[in-house]
Amino acid sequence: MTIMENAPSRHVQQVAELVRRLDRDEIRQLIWLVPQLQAESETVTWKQGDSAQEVRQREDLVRWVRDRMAQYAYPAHPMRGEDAFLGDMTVEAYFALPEAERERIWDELYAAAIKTSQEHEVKPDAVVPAR
Amino acid sequence: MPSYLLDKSVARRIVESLYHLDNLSSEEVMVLNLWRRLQIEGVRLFVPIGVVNILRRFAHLVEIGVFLSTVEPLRSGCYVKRWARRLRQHGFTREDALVLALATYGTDATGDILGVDVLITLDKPLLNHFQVHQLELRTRLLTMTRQLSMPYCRAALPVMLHPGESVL
Repeated sequence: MTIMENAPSRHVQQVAELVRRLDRDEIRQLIWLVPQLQAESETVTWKQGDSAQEVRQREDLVRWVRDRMAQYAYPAHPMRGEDAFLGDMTVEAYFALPEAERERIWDELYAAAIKTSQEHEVKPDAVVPAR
Repeated sequence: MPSYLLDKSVARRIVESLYHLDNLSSEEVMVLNLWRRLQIEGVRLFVPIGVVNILRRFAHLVEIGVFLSTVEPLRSGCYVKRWARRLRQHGFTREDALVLALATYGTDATGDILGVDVLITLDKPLLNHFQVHQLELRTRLLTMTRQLSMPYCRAALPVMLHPGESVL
């Protein structure tokens, strides 16, 4: 949430009008008398800066993912609500479920999928993580 | 080239996030960032073969197809089940023991690797349990591997990380 999401109250606007008339020394005196002004100002500036950076990073990430998806070969198509999906449901029905229910479905499918897994031989010269 | 195993919780998060890119939670941003970084670095990225088996029939959907195109299935190598049984004696749940055993004794489609460098999971109880018992697990694994032939005698515990931790 940024500081200007809500319009300032009339009371705040009146104080702001008074502060605008102060010169630099008077503003310093005001901050000395009300140190919360400086502390809050630093917090707000930091949050706004961080938020803007986060937004940019998120946009960059989404753009990268969309590029990857755009390169994915025909005849695949993006998920549509009516497409069949996990748990014998449609995509729309699956994503309408609460997180805990989607997790339960996923866990059940996974448990079934690994039930019959076989063990495989590994080559004698296989690469082993160096630790 | 280091190898990474994304557990089922991370795989699900990535796949689900691809469906609603305009409305991502912070956890989804975190796993997508991880997925991107690992691809850019060109590491080998694995998921348990069970995840691939679940998703394969939906590969005609772009979101699923793209994800599957970036990962390889990690199959059980010999001794996965034996190691999982021992891990259960150290308080791991059945599924947690299996995924940790897979990260230790899993192999690729051609049997050219034994285990992965890093196991990534969102499961905080698993991460905590692993951290607490890591030393005794190493000792236990050493005892087990001494009796095995190549390459199984060289098996090593993976590093276990949360997607939010620095992985590269």
